[in-house]
Formats: sequence, structure tokens, C-alpha cells
Amino acid sequence: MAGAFPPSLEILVTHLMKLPTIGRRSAERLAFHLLKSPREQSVELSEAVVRMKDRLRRCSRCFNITEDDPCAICRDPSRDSKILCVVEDAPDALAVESAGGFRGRYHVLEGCLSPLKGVTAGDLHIAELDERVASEGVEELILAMNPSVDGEATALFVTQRYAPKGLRLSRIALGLPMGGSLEYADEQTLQHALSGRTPISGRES
Amino acid sequence: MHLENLTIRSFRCLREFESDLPPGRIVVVGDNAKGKTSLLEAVFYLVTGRSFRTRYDNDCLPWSSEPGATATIRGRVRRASEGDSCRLAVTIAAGTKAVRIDDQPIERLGELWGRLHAVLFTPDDLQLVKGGPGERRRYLDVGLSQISHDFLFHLQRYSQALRQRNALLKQNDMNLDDLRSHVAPWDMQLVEHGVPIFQARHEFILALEPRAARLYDGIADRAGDATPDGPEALRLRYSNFLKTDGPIDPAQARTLFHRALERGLDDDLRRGQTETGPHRDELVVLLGGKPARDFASQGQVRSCVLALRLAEVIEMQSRTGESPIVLLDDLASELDPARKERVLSLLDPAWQTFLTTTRESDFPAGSEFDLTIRLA
Ligand SMILES: [Zn+2]
Repeated sequence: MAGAFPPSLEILVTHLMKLPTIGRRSAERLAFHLLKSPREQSVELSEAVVRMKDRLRRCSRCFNITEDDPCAICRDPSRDSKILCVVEDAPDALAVESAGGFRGRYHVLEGCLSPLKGVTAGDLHIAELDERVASEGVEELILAMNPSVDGEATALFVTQRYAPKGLRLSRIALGLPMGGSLEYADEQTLQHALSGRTPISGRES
Repeated sequence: MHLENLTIRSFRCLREFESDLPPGRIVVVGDNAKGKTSLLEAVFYLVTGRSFRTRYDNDCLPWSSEPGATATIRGRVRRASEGDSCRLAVTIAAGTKAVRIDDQPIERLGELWGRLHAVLFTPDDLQLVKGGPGERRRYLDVGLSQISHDFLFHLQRYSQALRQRNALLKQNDMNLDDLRSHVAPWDMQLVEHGVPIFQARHEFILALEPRAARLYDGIADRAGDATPDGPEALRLRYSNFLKTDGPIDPAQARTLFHRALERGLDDDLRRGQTETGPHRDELVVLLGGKPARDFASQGQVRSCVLALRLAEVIEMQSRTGESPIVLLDDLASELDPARKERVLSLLDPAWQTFLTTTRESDFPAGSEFDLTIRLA
């Protein structure tokens, strides 16, 4: 079946199939679509992919993805540095940010606890969070981990670490579709979750 | 509820099967290796998305099949509540499986659970009484998971948290303080999800016991000395990790479980696994006060298993208002004629019941069936 394709087409199909949710059939459809569309479109697409790879890096303060370090949110003096929204990874921060209404800053852990995958606190940006809490005058952490077992464990881990230090802590995974990733939650759900966040510990706000 | 229609294609030795199905009694007749059990297995796929015979879906592809061959099972479920129906489909190809509900693919098998309720009896089922505690936990959990999404949710979360905690216990490059702070989040989730499992199992067992006892009396024909303390009376005991005789206040259960986990940490570390929790629970089946697992005769075990299965049918029906379908594989060869007749008389004719047999004459003369399926 595969041998019927000219080599350059076959190579493209093979690469597209490495993308999530793309099977052979979808990959072929995309490849033929690109074949039929103007050359510039393919040039722009390939350049956009490479540009994205070259320009994006992690913010050295919050570990969100950014083109400039520190990121725009970390540099924005109007953002409330007393409130940090702690998320598993960049797409979650983007989801909270595009929901609007959040005026604090972010801290991206780049993962969640999973002993089965060999991930412990040392593999997440927990030490950096310690530093920020100590040096940036942080008073409140909003824990926006996914409502999975691992996300929940990560939120509990962060809670037990900072509650004794007198920080206000709240969790916003509640009310999100069960098992759904934060990334896929619609904006209304997120805004609702953000306004209805439940305090876990600390003073009443 | 019942299956109104069943279609099976290229599933084990069943090349092509399609039939409308009546709500009542269905007998499946065929020689050995003609696919009687496979038919029940296919129905069970619509219930759980899994086989009860193998862990590997690929085993269900016909052995002579071409690469790329696909096995398909489709069924339309009709609920007792008027007008409510859904279409279930499972397709299996080498290495992949897809489940659809009303033509919509689902992402997690958990979404399938509860669409079609079923209780299954197979000749291997003697393990329910004679086998290890896991068999009897599965009996409770499969029944409860079908009728309660909450239970299934807690069970899945609990087992995920348990696997994570056990993986952590095997990590030996952490100092004890660090380890404690890493274990705590999993402990909290074991407690959060373990206590509802404990409560649900406890209530289920309390509800099952009188039903199972009555059914056992009926099957074993002990009407004469059917007293709760008679020599052969069936009793159920929930031997649980909290060591309680009855359901207790959830807050108290949480405290007890939490404490047990903390106290057990040193032991758990030595063994590299979590030693306390509902994953270690046991349903003890007693006959005349003695554990049936150790003392029951072959005939008593068969009666016990059937009593437990049918008790589950009745309890599921009383909780949901929907009778599960009943799958009885090779019942006829398992029982002496007198017991067989008594079991048949205990089956509500309104339940959709699949009975497989090699010979129709295995059933008492005058047995009435709403449909006879012949596999050749
Ligand atoms: Zn930043």
C-alpha cells in the first residue's frame, strides 16, 4: 500500500502521522490538501513550524512558553504579583489566561507527580516556586491542576507544602468536566471555576 | 432492560450472526466449539467492553482471519422506561478496539458501563466461592460499577492512586521525610475514594445476603430446615480493612483509614506495596457458619454461586428498576436434574435470559423458551 506513493509524498505522510490523533488516512488527506494548495502555503507552514521552534523558550521565572524572557506577564507591572496561578503546563496557563479575568501571574510546573513515570517533586519546578514565594511577596496560590488523580496529588502536594507558611490556597479544578484536561475546558467553565474557587486553607479573602 | 437485536461478525468462530431478540428466555443450542460461549462473550463485550475469557482482545479475532480483519458486535438496548433505547457497537481489529454508543465513539470504556446491565454465570464460576478473595471482590465491583457511575469512578481513581503509591514505595533513593511528603497526597486520595468503595460494598452485601440465602434455600431445596442458623444456611460477611461489622460514619471511616495507612507505612515500605485498604477486602461466604471456600462440597459450591449471581440480578433490578440480562453458560451440564429444575423456576420469565446448552433435552420437558438459537 505504502509503496504506491512517490517518496516525497510518503515522507510527508510519515511525518504527519507522528502528530497526535493523526492516522494514516488523515495524514494522506492533509498531504493531498497541501499538494493541491499554492506553493506559498507550504512554505509559510514549514517556516511557521521552524520559527515557532526557534523562538519559543521557557520563561526563566514562571516557566510558561514565551518568545522573550521573562515573559510578557512576568514583566507586566499591572499584574498582581501576590497571586500565582499554579498549572501543570503551558496550555493550561494559556487556557486560564484566555478565559480572562485573572490578574495575577503564573507558575508552570512542567508536569505533575507520577511515581509510575518516575516524576517526583524534584522533577517539577517546585524549588523555583519556593524561591518565588520567598522573594516575590506571594500571598495566594490558585491551584489549577487537571482533575486527574495525578493532578489532584500534585495540588495536594503543593497545598501541604505552602499551607503551613500561611499562604492562601484555593483549587479550581472543581466543576470542570471530569477527566477532562484543563486545556479543553470551555472559557465559561473556566471563568466560573476561577470565580468559584474553593479555599483549601489560609485567611478568607 | 433487554437486547432487542444482536449482530455479530467475524468474532471467534461466529462468522455471521444476526437476530432480533425477545425480552424473555433464549436458549442457545449447539455442539461444542460452535460458538455458544462466544455468543455470550460477545454480549458481555457490549456490557463491559471486555472479554470474560481473555485479557487480549485479539484472541477474539477468528484464528484464520486475514491481517486487517475486524470483529464487530452490535446490539440495540431497550430499557424498561418507555421509549429509551441506545445502540452499542464494539469493533476489534489487530491491536485496536473501538466502542460506539449511538454511533458516537467513546474515549473511555467507563462511558460504556451502565448502558447494558448483565450478570454472567459460567462453568468457571466455581472460582467465585473456591478461588481467592479477588474473585469475590470482582463479583461485588462488577455489579456495583454497572449500576453506579460514582462507584466506578471511585474504583478507578482508587486503583490509579494505589498504583502510584506502590510505585513510590519501591523508590529507594528518597530520604524518609521526603518520602512521607510524597506519600501523603496518594494517601489522601486512597482515603477519599476508598471510603465510598467500602460503604457501597458494605450496603451491597447487606442487601445481597437475605436474597442469596433465600435463593440458596430454593436451589439446594432446604425448605425443611431453612432457618437462618440451620446446618446449611448461607450467610455473607464483609471482612474489611476497617474491621467493622456494619457500615460506619464516613468521617470516622476516613480517620481510621488514614491512621491505618500512616501506621502501616514502615511495613508497606519493607514490602514495597500497600497492605491496607479495600483492595484487600474479602467477601466471606459461610454455609452453616463455616467458610464455604474451605468446607463446601462441589454441589453446595454450585448452588452457592448461582444463589450469589441471581441475588445480584435481583438487587440490581431493585436498585435501578431495570432487570439486567442474565447470561447462563452451560448451566445444564453443571447441575443435577432436580437442582436444574429448581434454578429454572427461580428465573423470572421477564428477565432476558440466555441459556446455552449442547442438547435442548438437557432442560426439563415443558421448559418454555421465547427463542431458540441454533448454532451449526
Ligand atoms: Zn513568566
